[in-house]
Amino acid sequence: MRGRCVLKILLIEDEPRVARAVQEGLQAEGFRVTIAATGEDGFFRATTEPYDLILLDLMLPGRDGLEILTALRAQKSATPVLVLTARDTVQDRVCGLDAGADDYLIKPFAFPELLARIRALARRGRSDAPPRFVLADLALDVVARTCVRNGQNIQLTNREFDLLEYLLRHAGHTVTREMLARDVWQVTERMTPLNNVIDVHIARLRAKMDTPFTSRLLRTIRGVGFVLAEETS
Amino acid sequence: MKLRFSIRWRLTLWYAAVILVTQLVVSGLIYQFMSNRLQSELVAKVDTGYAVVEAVVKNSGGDLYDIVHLGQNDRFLLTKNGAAVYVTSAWDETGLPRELDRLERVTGGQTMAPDGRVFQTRTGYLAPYGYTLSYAVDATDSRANLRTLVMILLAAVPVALILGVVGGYFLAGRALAPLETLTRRAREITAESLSQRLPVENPGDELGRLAAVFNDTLARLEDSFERLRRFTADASHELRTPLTAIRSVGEVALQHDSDGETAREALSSILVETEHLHHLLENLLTLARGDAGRTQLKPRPTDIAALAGRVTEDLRVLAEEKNQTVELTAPADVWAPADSPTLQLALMNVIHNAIRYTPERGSIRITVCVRDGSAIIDTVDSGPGIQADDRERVFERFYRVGKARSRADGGAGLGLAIARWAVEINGGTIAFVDSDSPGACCRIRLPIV
Repeated sequence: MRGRCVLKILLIEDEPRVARAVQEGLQAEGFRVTIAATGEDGFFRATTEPYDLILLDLMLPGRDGLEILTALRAQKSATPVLVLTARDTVQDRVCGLDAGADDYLIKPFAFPELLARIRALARRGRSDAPPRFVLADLALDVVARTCVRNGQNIQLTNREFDLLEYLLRHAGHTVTREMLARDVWQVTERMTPLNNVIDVHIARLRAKMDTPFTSRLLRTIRGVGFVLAEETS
Repeated sequence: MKLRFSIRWRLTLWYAAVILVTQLVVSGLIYQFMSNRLQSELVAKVDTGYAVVEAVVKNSGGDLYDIVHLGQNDRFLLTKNGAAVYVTSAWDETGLPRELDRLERVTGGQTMAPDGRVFQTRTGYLAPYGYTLSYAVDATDSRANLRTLVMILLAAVPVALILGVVGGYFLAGRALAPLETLTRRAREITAESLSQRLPVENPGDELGRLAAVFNDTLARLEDSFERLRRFTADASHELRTPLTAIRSVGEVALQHDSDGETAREALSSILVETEHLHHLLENLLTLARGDAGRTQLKPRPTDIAALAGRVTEDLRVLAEEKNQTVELTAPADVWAPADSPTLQLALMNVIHNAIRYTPERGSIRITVCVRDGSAIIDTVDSGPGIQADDRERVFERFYRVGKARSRADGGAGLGLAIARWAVEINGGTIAFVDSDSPGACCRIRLPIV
């Protein structure tokens, strides 16, 4: 995706430090990011320039994020909107989705999670994930549920298989423990025990499909999460 | 606006009112008694005099010559066919008329003379001789006596009233004095001196009971203040630890001319600590929202057995790492209305806690069953168990048995507090109970209907 077409993102966020950090992070990933610091400015830009994606903070001075979202949808704008909110109560989520948001992310969020959501929204409409993933000498068949590396068949438990599939689906990108807890374990509440569980599963998975082989695919990024990628030196 | 008197004044007024009413009732009785007494004395006197005159008339056979021997001091009148036949000078002196039908009746056989004097009279017909006898006795004195009595009784009213008010005020003051002392002592107790207690002089009387109740309240207040103090201290400790780490790691990394690898290492450390902080904050927020009663649940029929199975399987790897065995005994399904995510949170924290405090090669048994209309989830471990006095406190925030303040073995000490919140918000109870195992047994009880 990267290089072929540059994704243009409008970031409507009044907190300058957050805006700058997100902008720099996204630009480093190859996106083109414009910041709008107020609701009025954001709405003006969103309606006059074509963007591929809008990142919208809900709590804004002047025009509230929900208002902008409602107004945009009233103008039949189909640009995907990812809502960023510090208000994590159920009502706010429902409100945001009702007003036409495509997804939401609660502050403080992990940056890899934001990237994953942006990629998911940008990918929308295209064919879904392939039933077979290949990365270097690793091959995973989702239908037959087999894992082969360097010609060797690797026996994985169901959980390990799901974990590996998720990592392959996000190959080359960092995956946080929070993402794994929610998407692989289907646990929405944040809790410490599950982080330990994830670490154990990652260690076991690594012992089965990575350590016995010459090159390293599964890396731990301390403090952030895990990434499955070909080693580049 | 309604006037508000102090209790002392209200008591005083009540005293005075009671004394006044008592006095009026007693005075009335005295008056009634005295007036009856004087009346019957008069009647007796008249009857005696009448009987003497009657006897004289009868003894002399209707002849009136003997009657002069009775003298002129008795007041009587004899008439025949309406005309006076004999009258004493004493009768005439009273001014009473000689014609009987002109006698002015007052009440109870009393007659009033024209000059206002009142006489007790008796009039009768002496049948064989055709005489009518009328005998009178002066009632003025007894009436005057009665009036004097009334005067005395009335004069006693203000005296009694004054005595009632003064005495009542004094007595009320005496009765309320210990209350005043209690008030003063209670006012001296502040948030800083909650360990003070009110003196209980006689635990059986009303004030003793009041002081005991007050002391009980103080004890509970002191307890919650103490818990708040401990919570604040623990929370700031838990928050400061990662903050200190973040700060020092950042400072050290900046001070030295660190290469890329060292800088990355520092950044990673900072992120790890940030994650700790984030978790801590999330957990505290969950609990704070629970305290504020702002958590909305969507209870749906939930298969408790399946949920326990799922959580057990999720956490089994942690036990395997410590070579522990985890055994789940559950019927096919146990349905109870519950909010699955929060209940899962509770089970995860409880089972994780059991794994954490059970030594290597230990065992954890989880049993789901239905008893007395409740779904019961018992988590029994082979760890050291929990002392009886700690069983309640382990659910307090940041409380750790043995005060082992290390994060090396995981959480910040909020796990069981969150578990309790999550179970209770689902209408259940959670507690550590006795079991046949030497280890701890955590029992979650959820109502089925």
